Amino acid sequence: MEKVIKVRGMHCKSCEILLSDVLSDIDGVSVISADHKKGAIIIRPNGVGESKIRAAIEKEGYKVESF
Amino acid sequence: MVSLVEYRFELSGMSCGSCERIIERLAEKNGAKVKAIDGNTGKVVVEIADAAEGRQGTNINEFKAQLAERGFFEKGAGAGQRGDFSRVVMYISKVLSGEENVTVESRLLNFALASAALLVVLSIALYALFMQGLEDRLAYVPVLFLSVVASVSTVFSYFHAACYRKLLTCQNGMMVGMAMGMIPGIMVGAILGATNGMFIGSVAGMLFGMGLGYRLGKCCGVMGAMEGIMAGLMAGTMGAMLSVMMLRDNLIAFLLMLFASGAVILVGLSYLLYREQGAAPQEELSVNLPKFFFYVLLMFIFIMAMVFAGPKSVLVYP
Repeated sequence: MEKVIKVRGMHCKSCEILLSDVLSDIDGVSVISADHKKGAIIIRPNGVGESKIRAAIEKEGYKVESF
Repeated sequence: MVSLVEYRFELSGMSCGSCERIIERLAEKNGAKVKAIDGNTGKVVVEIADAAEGRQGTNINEFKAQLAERGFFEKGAGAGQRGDFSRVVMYISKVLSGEENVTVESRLLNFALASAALLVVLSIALYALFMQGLEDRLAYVPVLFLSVVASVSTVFSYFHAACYRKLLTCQNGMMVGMAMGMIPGIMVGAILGATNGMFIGSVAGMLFGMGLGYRLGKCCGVMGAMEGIMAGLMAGTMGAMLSVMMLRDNLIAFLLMLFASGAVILVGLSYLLYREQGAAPQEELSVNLPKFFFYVLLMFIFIMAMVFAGPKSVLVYP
């Protein structure tokens, strides 16, 4: 099932690449798309917990607004 | 103990902290360590285990290839780096062969070629049927040709840039506003400046360029709109002025060069958008062939109406 994560702090293409890389590195998670204009990342968590995903994003200095 | 080798190189494409972080993470994943990184100069110093010595680690070339996949190219590395002409050639060949991520451009190119062919037929008919009585009617052939080029290239670039409206960064939006105000403005101004004189050429070129520049530049706010309007103002008047100044000095040869340069710049704009903003979203392409041709025809008729029925000053081509 796809999840839309609203992220605050993405401002350019590199932010999209960075967060895609970060989330793809979590075993099980697959990234569908990242859009800095919408401030949204669409992923398939495949059973990975919200807290782990949230922590990975926030470790890079971004704020998860909704999950 | 694994001995680390230090490498220093410069990358293009870095613009912010996120870029630096991407590179640092990539280095970590490859068992390398970034010792220094500067987003402003692109200078990077990494320590990396040399795979050539048979130890565990990533070869530096492999690491650079991974950086290139993310858009960071080594400066001075030749083919494939930012600004390298081979990337433009690659883009054009992709469009010509209709590859998957350039389907919007390929469709627009097909529309443009079909519209150009139809306009050429129309121009021949116009020449054969309605221009028989004109003195120096052969002199109007380049005017017809230049009008076809102006109409087709303007409509192509308009619809291509319009696809990116919702995605454009301020910088790219300003570039779109400027290019779309300038090139069509100078083309219209130059044609009508030659055939109708400085006043009509300037007014028509200016209004056309300003209108188009505003329409496409406004997607990124006042700055883009202003950029488009200013470019249209400059280009429209400049196009007419150049034509009038060159009336007796190889005008047609100059106009051919000017229009060829304009068309190249519009191709450059298309490439810039693709490179900076990614593949054009297909759902934003709001045009089919009849609609595309309608706009091309509208612009062509406007130019022809002005050339043959508009007011003229004393000193005009031919």
